Amino acid sequence: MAGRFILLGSLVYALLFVGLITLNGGPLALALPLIVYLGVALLHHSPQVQLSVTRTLSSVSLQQFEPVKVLVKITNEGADLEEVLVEDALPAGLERVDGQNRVLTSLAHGESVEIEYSVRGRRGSYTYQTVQVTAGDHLGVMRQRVESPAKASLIYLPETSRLGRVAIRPPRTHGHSGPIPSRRSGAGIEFYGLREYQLGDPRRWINWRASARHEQDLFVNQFEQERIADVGIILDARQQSDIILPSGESLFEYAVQAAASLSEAFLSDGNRVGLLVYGFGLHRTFPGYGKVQQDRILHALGQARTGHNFALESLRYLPTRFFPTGSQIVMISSLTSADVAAFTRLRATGYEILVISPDPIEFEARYLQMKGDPAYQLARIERSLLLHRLERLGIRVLDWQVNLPFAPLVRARLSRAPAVQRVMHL
Amino acid sequence: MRRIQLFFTIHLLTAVAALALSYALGGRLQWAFGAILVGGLWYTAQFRGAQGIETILFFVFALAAAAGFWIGLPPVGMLLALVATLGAWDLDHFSQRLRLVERVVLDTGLGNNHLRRLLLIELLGLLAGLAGLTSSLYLTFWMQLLLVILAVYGISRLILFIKNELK
Repeated sequence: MAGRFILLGSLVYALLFVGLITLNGGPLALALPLIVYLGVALLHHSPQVQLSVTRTLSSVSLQQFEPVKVLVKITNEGADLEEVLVEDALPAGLERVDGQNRVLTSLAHGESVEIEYSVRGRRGSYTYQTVQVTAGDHLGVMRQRVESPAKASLIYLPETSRLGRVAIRPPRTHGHSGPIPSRRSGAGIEFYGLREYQLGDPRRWINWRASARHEQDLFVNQFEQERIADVGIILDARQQSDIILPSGESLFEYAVQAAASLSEAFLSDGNRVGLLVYGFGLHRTFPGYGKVQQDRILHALGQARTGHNFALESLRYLPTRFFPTGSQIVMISSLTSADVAAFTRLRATGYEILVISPDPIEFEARYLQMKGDPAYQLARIERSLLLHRLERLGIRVLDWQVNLPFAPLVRARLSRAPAVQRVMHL
Repeated sequence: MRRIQLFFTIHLLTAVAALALSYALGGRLQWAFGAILVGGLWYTAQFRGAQGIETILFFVFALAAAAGFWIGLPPVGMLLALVATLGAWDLDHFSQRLRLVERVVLDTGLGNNHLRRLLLIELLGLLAGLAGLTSSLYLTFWMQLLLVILAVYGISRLILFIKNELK
């Protein structure tokens, strides 16, 4: 019930009370127009609101800031409604670009009203739940507010950039042909090693230089098989790994973009790629191939957000069984010094690890303009030591200063396979 | 929207004129000047889209009308002032509702129906008020007591109701 009814009711009571106490007919007569006003309002009290609401979105999966059209159709299936205010509240984070999301109208039985507007937003998942309808009489005294369900979800996917080939060399590969050196000899292009000539070996495989050094033996070149591999991308979504500047810029967004670009690169090479978002909870995208998997990963990344979970404060509880032993793990994290132990454990379990680390110090220092500061220097030294410790564990680390574009950096640093110790069977 | 604004102005002018004239005729020029001042304040507030102030000003006008009865000013003027104030208050609130939304579908007769209903209420209210002013009713002591008890009971119920609404 509206506050106006209470207000007028109180005034009527006050006038009647004063009139009775003072035995003066004047206040009583003054109360009469107000009583008529309230009486008419009560007489036209809006009946039970019965509406059917449908919501249509022009697209449910979009790129960041791409506008989406929202069309809401409200049909009155009950009695006539004299004054109806329809409000379609925007989910937090969406911004209206054009059109109107509130409309005031009258709705007779069977009549419809449509609301059409466009919204846009940042990467993320947005859900519309209800449409708020406030129905009342013409005077607006008796009002009834209902929420009609009109569910719809849309997701803004992260931006991706074409990285080209990202060279990896996991210890274990799959049986199918692919771009990754499998550490096994067989049909391939890359030189792998030498072995003694066996009957049936093609003559063009003979390594004449090596054979010339031995009197009786012939040696042939061995080539490395190229296969596809399992790649597990782990996105660090712990709150302590993220930095949000007062302008709203978040380091986590860069990590998400990196994860999206890398997953696209690995999948386009034919690898089996899975995703784990580690932070508030454990959100998994089970390993798979191809474009469908790319869509799944992008959707998962679209919904990824940072959060705090005491159980997942450190990387100690990283569910390594999610990725097969010997597979390539790509960890995208700004890194903390406490994470080294978890990386040691991962390496010991037999994973090949690549760490993409958006640099939190440069990110914050650029905003604070404290590059010459001793505190900045100390933080830089600390980070260098941390990265050095990881490298000593045999982990490839890509230190990414997020003001620089990701793709050229990857092309420069990750397009060549890491060196491995090759075995020569003689 | 323009029509609503025009009707609001007419109502406010009527209310101010009725109050100011009545107070001026009763020899209270300062009060008449005060009514004009409050009317001007209301118009400015409405023009600037201020919210909430219209209710306070409506109460001020209603109290001024009740006080006019008390000090023996022309009752018809007071009644007219109150009815016009009620209309101005309603239209101010209606224009606020219109202003709050970007899109108003006026084709459905929203504005016209509102005005029609308000004018009907004003007419009925004015007639009821005039009938109340011209007729007299004798109440015995017990009737008065009963009415006072009813009024007290009513107020207590109203307070309870407001408390429940605010929870």
